[in-house]
Amino acid sequence: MRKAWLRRGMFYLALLGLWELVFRCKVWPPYLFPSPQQVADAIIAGFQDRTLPIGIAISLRRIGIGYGCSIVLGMVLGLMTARNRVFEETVGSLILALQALPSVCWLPAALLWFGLNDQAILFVVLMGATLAMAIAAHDGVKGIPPIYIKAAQTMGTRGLHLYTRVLLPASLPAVITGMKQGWSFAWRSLMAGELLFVSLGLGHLLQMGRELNDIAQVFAVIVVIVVIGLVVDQGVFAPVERRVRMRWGLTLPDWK
Amino acid sequence: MTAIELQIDRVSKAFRTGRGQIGALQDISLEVAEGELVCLVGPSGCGKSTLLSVVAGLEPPDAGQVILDGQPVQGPGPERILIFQDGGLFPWLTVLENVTFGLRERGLPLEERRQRAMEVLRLVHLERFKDAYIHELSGGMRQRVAIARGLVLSPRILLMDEPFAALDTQTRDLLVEELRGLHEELKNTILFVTHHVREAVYLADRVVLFTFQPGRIKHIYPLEVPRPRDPDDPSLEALVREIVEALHVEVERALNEEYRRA
Repeated sequence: MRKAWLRRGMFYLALLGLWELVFRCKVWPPYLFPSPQQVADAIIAGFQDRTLPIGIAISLRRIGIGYGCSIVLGMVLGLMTARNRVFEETVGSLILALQALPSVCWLPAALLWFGLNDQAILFVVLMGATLAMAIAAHDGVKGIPPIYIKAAQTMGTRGLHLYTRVLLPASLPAVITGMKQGWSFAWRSLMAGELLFVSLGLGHLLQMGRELNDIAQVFAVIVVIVVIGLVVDQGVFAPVERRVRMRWGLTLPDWK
Repeated sequence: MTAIELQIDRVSKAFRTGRGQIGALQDISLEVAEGELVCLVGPSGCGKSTLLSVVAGLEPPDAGQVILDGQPVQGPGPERILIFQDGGLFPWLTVLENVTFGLRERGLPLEERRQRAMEVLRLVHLERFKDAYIHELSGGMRQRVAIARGLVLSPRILLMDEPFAALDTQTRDLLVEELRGLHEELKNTILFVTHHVREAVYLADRVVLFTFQPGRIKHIYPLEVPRPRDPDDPSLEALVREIVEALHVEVERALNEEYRRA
């Protein structure tokens, strides 16, 4: 475990070194390719003039709302398509079809419907994460051995309890994997949506960097976006996923 | 003679066998007395397991009915517990939580659930493992949890679908012995599906032999020898041989049928 971290640290140090080297060789002019130092300065400056913290707060608030709604909506859709054949054949096929569409393609329509505001962006986030969530929940429930359902029924489980006490816990490992995937879909959709107009989020800061011809700021915001995505994925979802899989007996405890 | 508890009354049912063919149970009638242990033997695909599902209420019969204590069976219910070959235990719950699952559905308070569950866990000698998760248990322990999970609901009838088939011989012998002890103590009615004729003859009050496609009752062998039985008893040995020979005829028919289709 510690060795893995060491290797990872070395790798990123080497990557930074290579970056610095490319910068010093002047392969590209500095206004197109910043040095690590310039990017670091841009991040610090962004925190000092509070544009970055504000951008982060705005983006996180949006994703909190959009992703939260997506989980609930996706779970409901997934459960319905998994448990009802008519739903599966109709709504289920539509979900699969729409999943092929990058969610940012909804932005033009959302702008026309909702105007230049948060709702338009939330709609894009919702379209990005809900479908992934619904598909994961559907597959999760479909993958439940029928024996669990039969066993519960003979023990007297009826109606809603079948969902809350059997289907949901039995599909939880798949659902958590779906939530993890949904998160990255939501995060990407949010950034794409924020790019396109004055939204004050991180995506907008990226766009401002372009307008000011400030490549260091563009890189700085990219780094922040990647770090936030990574922290949530590795810091929140990965441990939960690992613990659930272990408890369900799906992996050995010393699995790496 | 004790009262008739379960009546399987002219039940017919088409079903899909494990090999993707259509099988049929035809006109099965069987009366089971309270506390009786009946073993069902027959070639795979004859419909023994389907019959258990019908009695459990998980599948409706195409014709006929199942009557428990004078009431026709409609749907599954905790007075008829089905125990599966691989247990069907919930991996997200501990042993104790698995055993209390049905009591929770019944709405019993937590303390009472725990108390009752611990009683049956003691019966199957698993009280020390109450906090273990299912994947931490051996196959034999899992089946004992499955039995405990059924017994805790005080079912009228235990329906056991080859519950020990996936276990090694030693574990299997131990569990058969444990089941015999439980039956002697609790006197539940048990319908027990097995491939093992010797096991059936060792345990059963009656052994019911099924024919292959259509699945019908070929013969019923009553056993008067009191339990516990000596596995080496020559009269039992003779009966085992008799049933095995009759079973072989059916297994051969099943194989011929399979070759013909292949």
